Amino acid sequence: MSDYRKYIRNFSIIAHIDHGKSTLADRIIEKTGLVSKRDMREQFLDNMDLERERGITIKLQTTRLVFRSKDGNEYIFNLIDTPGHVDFTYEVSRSLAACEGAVLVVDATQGVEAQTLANVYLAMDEDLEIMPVLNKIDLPSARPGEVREEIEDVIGVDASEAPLVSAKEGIGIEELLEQIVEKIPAPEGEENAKLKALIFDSYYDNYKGVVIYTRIFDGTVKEGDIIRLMNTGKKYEVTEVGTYSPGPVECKSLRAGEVGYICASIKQVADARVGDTITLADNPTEEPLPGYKKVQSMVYCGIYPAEGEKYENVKDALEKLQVNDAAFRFEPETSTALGYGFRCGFLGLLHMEIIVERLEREFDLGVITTSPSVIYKVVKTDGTVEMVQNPSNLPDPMEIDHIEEPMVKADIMVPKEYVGSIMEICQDRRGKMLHMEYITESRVNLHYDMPLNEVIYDFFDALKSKTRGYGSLDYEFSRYEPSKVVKLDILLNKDMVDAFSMIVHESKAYARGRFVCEKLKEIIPMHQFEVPIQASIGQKIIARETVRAYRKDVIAKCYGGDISRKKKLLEKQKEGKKRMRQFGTVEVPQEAFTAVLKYDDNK
Amino acid sequence: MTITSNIGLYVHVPFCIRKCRYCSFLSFPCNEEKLLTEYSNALIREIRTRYEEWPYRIIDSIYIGGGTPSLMPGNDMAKVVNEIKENFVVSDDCEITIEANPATLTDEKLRAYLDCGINRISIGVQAFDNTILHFLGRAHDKNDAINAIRMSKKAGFDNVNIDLMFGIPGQTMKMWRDSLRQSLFLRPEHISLYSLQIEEGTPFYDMIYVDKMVSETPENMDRAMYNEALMMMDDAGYHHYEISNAALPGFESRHNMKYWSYQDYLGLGPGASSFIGGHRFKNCEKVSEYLKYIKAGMPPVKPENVEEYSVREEMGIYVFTGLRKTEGFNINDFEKTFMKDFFDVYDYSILEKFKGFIEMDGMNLKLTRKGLDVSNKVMAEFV
Repeated sequence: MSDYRKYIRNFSIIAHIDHGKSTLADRIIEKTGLVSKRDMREQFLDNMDLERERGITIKLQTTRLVFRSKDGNEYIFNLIDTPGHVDFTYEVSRSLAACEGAVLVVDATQGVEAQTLANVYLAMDEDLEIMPVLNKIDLPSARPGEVREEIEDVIGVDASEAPLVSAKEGIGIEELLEQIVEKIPAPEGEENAKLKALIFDSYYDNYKGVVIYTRIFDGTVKEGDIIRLMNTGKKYEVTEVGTYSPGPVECKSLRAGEVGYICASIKQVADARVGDTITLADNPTEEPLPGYKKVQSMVYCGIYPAEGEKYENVKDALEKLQVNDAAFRFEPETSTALGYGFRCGFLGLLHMEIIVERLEREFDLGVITTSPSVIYKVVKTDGTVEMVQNPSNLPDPMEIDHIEEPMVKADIMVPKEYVGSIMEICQDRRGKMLHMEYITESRVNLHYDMPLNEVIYDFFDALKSKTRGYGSLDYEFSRYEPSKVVKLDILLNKDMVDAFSMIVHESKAYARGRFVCEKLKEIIPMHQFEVPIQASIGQKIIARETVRAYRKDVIAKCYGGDISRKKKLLEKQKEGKKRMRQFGTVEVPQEAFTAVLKYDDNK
Repeated sequence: MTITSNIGLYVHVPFCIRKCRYCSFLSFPCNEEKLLTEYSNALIREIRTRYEEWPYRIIDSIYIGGGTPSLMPGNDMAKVVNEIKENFVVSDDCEITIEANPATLTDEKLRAYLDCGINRISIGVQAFDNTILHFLGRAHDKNDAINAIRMSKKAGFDNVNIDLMFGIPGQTMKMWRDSLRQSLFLRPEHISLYSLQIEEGTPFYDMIYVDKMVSETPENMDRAMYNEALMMMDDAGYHHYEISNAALPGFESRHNMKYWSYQDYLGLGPGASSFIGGHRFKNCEKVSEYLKYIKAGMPPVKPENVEEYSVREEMGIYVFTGLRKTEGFNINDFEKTFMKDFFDVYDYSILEKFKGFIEMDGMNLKLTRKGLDVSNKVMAEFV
């Protein structure tokens, strides 16, 4: 083995949300002296505001660190961060594929969670060395002994030497770093072989174009090389290679075993897909790296400019987001109720929420989103198959032979006292329990077969609410299955508002119809006339509410000539009006579109 | 009714026997005469400071409101009024109103008021029904109210207003009619009608929306009560001249009209608002802070309490205040004030949009009877 590789350690940190992954990464960065304590922002790797606020990592960050070990040598640590949410499983798996080892952070007060497991399995799939660490050891409720046993029982890795750390207090970090040197293997590979490098992330830079994060498995890449991306087949000339520490630092070449970035004037992130293999155009490797797949959108919804917002502005923003997010797709569509807008595809509900929030925050745009939908497989009477993700595109019932809906395998991990209520909400959402296992005396893993449609609606909110936040969920697509789903329409003042239409299971239609009508009644202000709100399946009305006509709206007393107070009140009223959407003669506040999707605890 | 370019003076007395349960105004419970006398001295100092700012303006209405101004000893109040007269130019026919709580009126106070030139008294009756008064947390009962009106008339007040309130939880239509009948029988020159507003931060708000002990009056009931009152007052010869006010002919309140006719007014005392010389500002609300300014001989206005509005915003204010008058406002007057064509600023289509709620009557734009019930909806369109 070449000498330089002996001193490289490529690893990820994997953990459940809130178990302290980002804080630990901060400590490691601080300890290796890369960033002075003064310049340290909270959670260094989560550099989007949104990420820091939500405490989750969306976009990957990779950092090269230098650690001087007790053995007297200097080691290069490539810390490859992973996104921390179930929607991004594929991206996580590709990041892990770039590593030799994974530091598994387990909260010593909480133990193993569903996502811990999901990530561990992903790491095991990549044959990584798993190195457990117990975090939050400073808390009085920490129970390292028990959690250690839990890790050994559930995951089956030796946890006897797991360092006890507190990322928050900076306890045990030194020992952790030494263990990384000791336990995680150095990379293998041959720098003189044909180039074989993995794309595990990419982002768009205004000056350099797409910046690819890569792990070199074999060969060497340098400026001027013509590279070929094996799955898309496209060729590019390398304009720059370098490493992140944490800002970009140009270097002469990247060799087998190293992690860094490549710029090659690529215009769209979608052209440099995560999981693709980079090789040299004139001396290509025979086989691409395994594991590549094109990410599929699982959840779709309509995004429309809010009142007073320009279509073009929303389009520009979506294009900018897409440049940086290969998993996000959109195409124009029109709605009779909302006008011109876009049909957008996402990895999951969180991904959708993030995109919508970024539109609002980073681009300062007001948008309306319609009910999220999964993709239904519609088998028509003439034998043809149509994939439908917009309720409005559902063919005429006469033409439909049957509809199939996507099913997922869901793993739900909860403390045992919540098993009853979880079984209830799963049953309520048409879930079939496959089996259930006790991970420890007090924690249970429930395996369910569930329609994705039910998972994206409000399942996660319900799960969190019923388990006081202790429940965790992980799911993956399993198959399509025939299902009795129907299209539920909402009518305001007798006119159908297509933006409210949704596809639901027959058994749920009445309850959903009633729920939406009740919610809209709460939200739609009184008009000068009565507004009937109806839910229908085809021609059949299944629920109805009425918004009364208003009669009184005055402010009686004007105190001490305080005109400003009254002016402000009227302005508020007018402001409220602006955020209204006009449907025929009925005004609907924009929040109505999200409110009908929210989980209702009292239900 | 003549509206002059003279200014109205508002004097705030932020003290009450106790705070009513629906009240969100600036007032504090106070039962110490010493404090009230001290406060009257502060007002006197403010009058002197303020006169230096706005000299030579003629004052043709003074309104002493609260709170409960009648809580203040009669001679202290007289000193305040006299101080105004000594500093500002007060017209001979100046309307001078004092607000009074029935529980606080005495012959001696009434005498003092009349002697210093106060010629209008506004009595906070609210209802002639002990159950309702108790529920509101008022410090007086039905008999106190009747006595207060009789005493005022007997003492020599020939311009008496009473405040009435409707839409109170638990108030039936019969109770409301009885209060109206009692009012009309006593025949005050002026009646103010207020639909109870449930304001956040008041005990009522919690009672209704948090603890849900009682429920809000349904809107159709509230409007039926308003209607009933307008009918009964009309039959009794009262002129309904502003959304919440009616008067026997010739007794419309000059001060009240200033607010709705884009006229100047100057406010004294903590939290009082002013609109004068094109400026809008408000005195600081904290009494202690107010006293500090006064002691230093400075106008008690903090920079953040000065409101700067654009011409377009001022136009909106002109319209929504003007619409409170049942006769509306004259579009020519609007155009003279702003040197702009009204229908250039607001499109003609607005008449169509609110058809049945606003209408042109000669050159006046006004709310229809139906429009009065939903005035905010219409007004919001203009701000």
